[in-house]
Amino acid sequence: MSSLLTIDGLTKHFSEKDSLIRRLRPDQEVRTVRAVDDVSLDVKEGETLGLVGESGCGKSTLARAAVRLIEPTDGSVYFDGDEVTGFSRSELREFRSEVQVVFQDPFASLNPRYTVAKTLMEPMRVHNIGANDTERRERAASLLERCGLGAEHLDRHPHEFSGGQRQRIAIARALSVEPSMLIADEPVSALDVSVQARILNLLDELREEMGLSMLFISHDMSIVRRVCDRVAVMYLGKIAEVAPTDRLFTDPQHPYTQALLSAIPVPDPTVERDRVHLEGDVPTPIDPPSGCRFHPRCPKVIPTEGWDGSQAAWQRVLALKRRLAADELDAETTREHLEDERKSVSDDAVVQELYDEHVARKGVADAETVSLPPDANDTVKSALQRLVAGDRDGAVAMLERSYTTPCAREEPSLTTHGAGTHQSACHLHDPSFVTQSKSQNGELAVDGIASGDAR
Amino acid sequence: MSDAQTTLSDADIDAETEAAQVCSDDSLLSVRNLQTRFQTAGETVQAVDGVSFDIAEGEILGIVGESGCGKSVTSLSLMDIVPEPGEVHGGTVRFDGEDILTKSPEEKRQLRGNRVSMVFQEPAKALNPVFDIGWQVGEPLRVHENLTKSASRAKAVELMRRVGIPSPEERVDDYPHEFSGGMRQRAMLAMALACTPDLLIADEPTTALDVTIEAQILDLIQELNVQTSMSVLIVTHDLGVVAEVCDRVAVMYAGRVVEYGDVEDIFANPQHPYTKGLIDCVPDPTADEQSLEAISGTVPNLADTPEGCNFAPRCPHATDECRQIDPRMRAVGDDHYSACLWEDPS
Amino acid sequence: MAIDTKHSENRSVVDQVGSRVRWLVAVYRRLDLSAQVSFWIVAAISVAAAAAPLITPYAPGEQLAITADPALKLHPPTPANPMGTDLYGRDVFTRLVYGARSSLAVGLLAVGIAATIGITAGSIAGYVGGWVDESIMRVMDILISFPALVLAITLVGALGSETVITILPVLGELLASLPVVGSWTSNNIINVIFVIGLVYSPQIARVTRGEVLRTSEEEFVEAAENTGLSRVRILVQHILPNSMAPVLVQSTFLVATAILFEASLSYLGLGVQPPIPTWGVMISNGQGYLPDSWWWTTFPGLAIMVTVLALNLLGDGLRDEFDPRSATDGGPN
Repeated sequence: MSSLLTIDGLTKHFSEKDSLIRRLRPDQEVRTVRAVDDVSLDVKEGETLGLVGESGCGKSTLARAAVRLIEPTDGSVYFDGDEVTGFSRSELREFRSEVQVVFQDPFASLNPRYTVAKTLMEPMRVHNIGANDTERRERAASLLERCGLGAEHLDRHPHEFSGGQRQRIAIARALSVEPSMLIADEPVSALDVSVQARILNLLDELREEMGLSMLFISHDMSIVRRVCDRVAVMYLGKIAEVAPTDRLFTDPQHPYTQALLSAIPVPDPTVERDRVHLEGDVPTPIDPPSGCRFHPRCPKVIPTEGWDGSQAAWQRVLALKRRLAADELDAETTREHLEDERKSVSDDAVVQELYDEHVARKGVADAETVSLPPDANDTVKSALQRLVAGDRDGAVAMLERSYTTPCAREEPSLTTHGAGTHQSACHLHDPSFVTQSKSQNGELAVDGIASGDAR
Repeated sequence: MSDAQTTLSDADIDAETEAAQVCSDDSLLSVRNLQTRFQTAGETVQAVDGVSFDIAEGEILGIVGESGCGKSVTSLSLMDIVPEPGEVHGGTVRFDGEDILTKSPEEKRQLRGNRVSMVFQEPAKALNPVFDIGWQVGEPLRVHENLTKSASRAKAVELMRRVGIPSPEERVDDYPHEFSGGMRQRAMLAMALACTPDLLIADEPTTALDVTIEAQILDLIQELNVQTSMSVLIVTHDLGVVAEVCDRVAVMYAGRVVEYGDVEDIFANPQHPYTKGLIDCVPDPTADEQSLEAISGTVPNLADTPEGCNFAPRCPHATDECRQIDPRMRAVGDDHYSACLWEDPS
Repeated sequence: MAIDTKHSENRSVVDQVGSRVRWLVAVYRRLDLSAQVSFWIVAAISVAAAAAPLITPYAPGEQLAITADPALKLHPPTPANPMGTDLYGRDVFTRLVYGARSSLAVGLLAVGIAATIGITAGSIAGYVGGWVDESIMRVMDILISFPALVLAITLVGALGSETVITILPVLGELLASLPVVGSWTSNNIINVIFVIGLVYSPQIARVTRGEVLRTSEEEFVEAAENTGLSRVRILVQHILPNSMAPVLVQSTFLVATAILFEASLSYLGLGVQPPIPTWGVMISNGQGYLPDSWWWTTFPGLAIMVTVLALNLLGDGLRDEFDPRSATDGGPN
């Protein structure tokens, strides 16, 4: 199968609140949102490639940049051998009849003032399909029928239709220019489940009938499993893993994919799942974490040399370090808080309180009990003592010196698993990285690999 | 159509009889024949049309259905806070032995946020942008337990810690816009837990969240349910959420509960064709190659529901009887009720 | 395809007109009572202005003290002269009705000019963005930062006895082809209309720009880009029609403001020059006689008040109706 759409090193950065005046002011910095960062992917002819990830991971931006609905910052895109990123205005217009987008929200993607006929005939006019309006209208009617509506709907306005019917109209519009590829951006996420199923079935039929290739963007793993031949998982503007659908679901290699899969609520109450618990929120792509972007939340983040505690304890230490660095710990507030309860508060009491709060996580409803190895315990406590003494930078430096994950140091590259169609970007799978950290960490990295492979 | 052995006279029961079958007297919350309508110019939309269910102490009940089935209105009706022009015009909501609906507005207010708390879908909208988180989490304590400002703030810190908000001492002074979606929902839960409620009503609590965050919030709700034996009512459109966290489930369609009972039993052995359809059209992330069976047609207009069974126009097994007799739920198993005329409609 | 295309296309034109009328009726029905009443007041004033010669037997400049009865100078209201007469023996009611012509014409034409400038500038600024946006909007900011009246007085003064038409002959021809207004082309009123239009164009430009920015973000605009439609067509066919409701509301308010503005200018003697009667000129002329001949100023004053109030209430009603936060659809186009 040859590749129809090839995305090569595509990057899209947005500047936040950019303006001329702001640039001239040294006190104001223009923050860059790294929505998509050096992503390479390809969609083969006749295949459906799924693109999954949580909100803000850049999946929609990637798709829009790939068809130049927004201009990419860097990288190139090829369609059928031609470089899309080098297209002139008129070439780009030609290209629009090859790749069509079906948008997420059928309540927003149709012009409320256009009748269905006008909506469907406009793209045909742009691309000179049909000799005259009479012919185009006939084509519109038959497209509408193919998508499950009727010619009697041609003169109606979008507000007269339900969400599912509107999405059918949007699909008919996309097909009106006879494209060879569809980009479906969360096409069913705004719809009810029973309607979802019907739209997915329709897309399936049309794809088969017309031999369409498809890039299917979704946050819903269950739907992706049903629709796609291959799946790419995105996290914070990067591809974490790409694999044939069954491989991805039965043998996920990236810890993020594993967590994502385990988080989906399964519609079967008898399934007791071993959920991979992800700490914290999805960070913003404004200032993404260094090294592997997933490392702050990763349950398998590689411990530092000589760490002999549990993985959970290691994560607690990293989390503490992160909060300390982000200035989220305030010894004074904690002290005041304690003073409300008792008369005199020693520094040690404040340290203990901070320790209970952030490391032991006492009183948190869904936190498991974790104990640190003795030496780590000592280091953490003395770092907290520094914080209480007013030396936050010293405390951060102390933890930084002793506890830094190799994952934060460099970006993982894609490693190939098995037959070559399955790739993931995780240090645990990088042979050079593993030998290196193996020699440093002894058993632990090997454990990480083993549990990764076991799935 | 199978050879149905049902005697139709059995099935021809009214909402009161259904309530009598479905409800027991000793549950924490017992909803009987609840009716809520929206009256607008020239139209009466019967959003909740005789709904009955029970929630026992420490139990998690799910109400599941598609948009417009009346599940959210049902949850609002329990506390009698349906927005205008809606009104609860029938039925009883017995909470701990007393009917909430006949209480005075003041008594209802005493109950809300105190013994019964609510969490909504959009934490961004439910939190007031001009007050800090601590003030809002502590609000029920000041209202219901007459705590002082500083005491309510101290308690708010405790609550925020409990629901897993990191560094609550600092974050207590933050404003809602400084919180992420998941953190806001945690803050809402902290607020809901303030007065150690007996019942938590959560209306689509995770719909606006990403899956990994959804998993965190669902874990938290389950954990709180176990630790405090607080009963929970979860309103959701997601069968996955129901399967994950609920002990029992009520499936709603067009303002009615069409199937009700034990979650495992209903998923393994759905009796109502709508429940079957709903389960069939949800893709299972653990299963390979599956073709989804879609339910044809659209939800009926609640201002003008069809004669007979509401689901009959979309039901693959509907018969002439279905188009005449309006079925109500009856027992089809141990703690399993279904509102289909036929015992085995397949 | 067994579909009678020809037939349905014909029907679709009829349908379009019909559906637009139905939409207008539906909008009217959804307005609150005060807006509905206001609508009829504005309609009545407009009809009276258009049909002035049918309503009153006199001409606006006719001096009844000379042509009929010398006693008719500053005469209080009588059945024949229901609003009395002025110093020159002219019938106040007649001048009020003809004055409505100039007031409404000034209001509508000035807003028409403001809308032309404002919508063009605002939509280009909003859609093109970048430095084009910055430049256009800074010019608008400068225009709006002058006190409107001072700016208008300066501009009218600068133009002097020249009318805009000598500078812009094309517009003159356009105006000359209009009824009523056609005969004013040499009068100062033309300058007043243009100046008011210019002064208020930033308000329309701002609303338009904001709406265009908002609408550009809509998914259907992206969908239109995705079909390969040119940017100009996207702006004209997709963005502008979906951005006009708030502009329409703003324009309603501006008609009222423009009427007041014209009255102020005329009151100061800088506005419309004789012989065209306007309400502002009437108040200006009659103010010295207010204690004795109250009717000369009171009736035009009331006319201004009622018209402005009605237009504002109508605007309020339309705003409630078109509020983007509550509206789900702007109706057929």
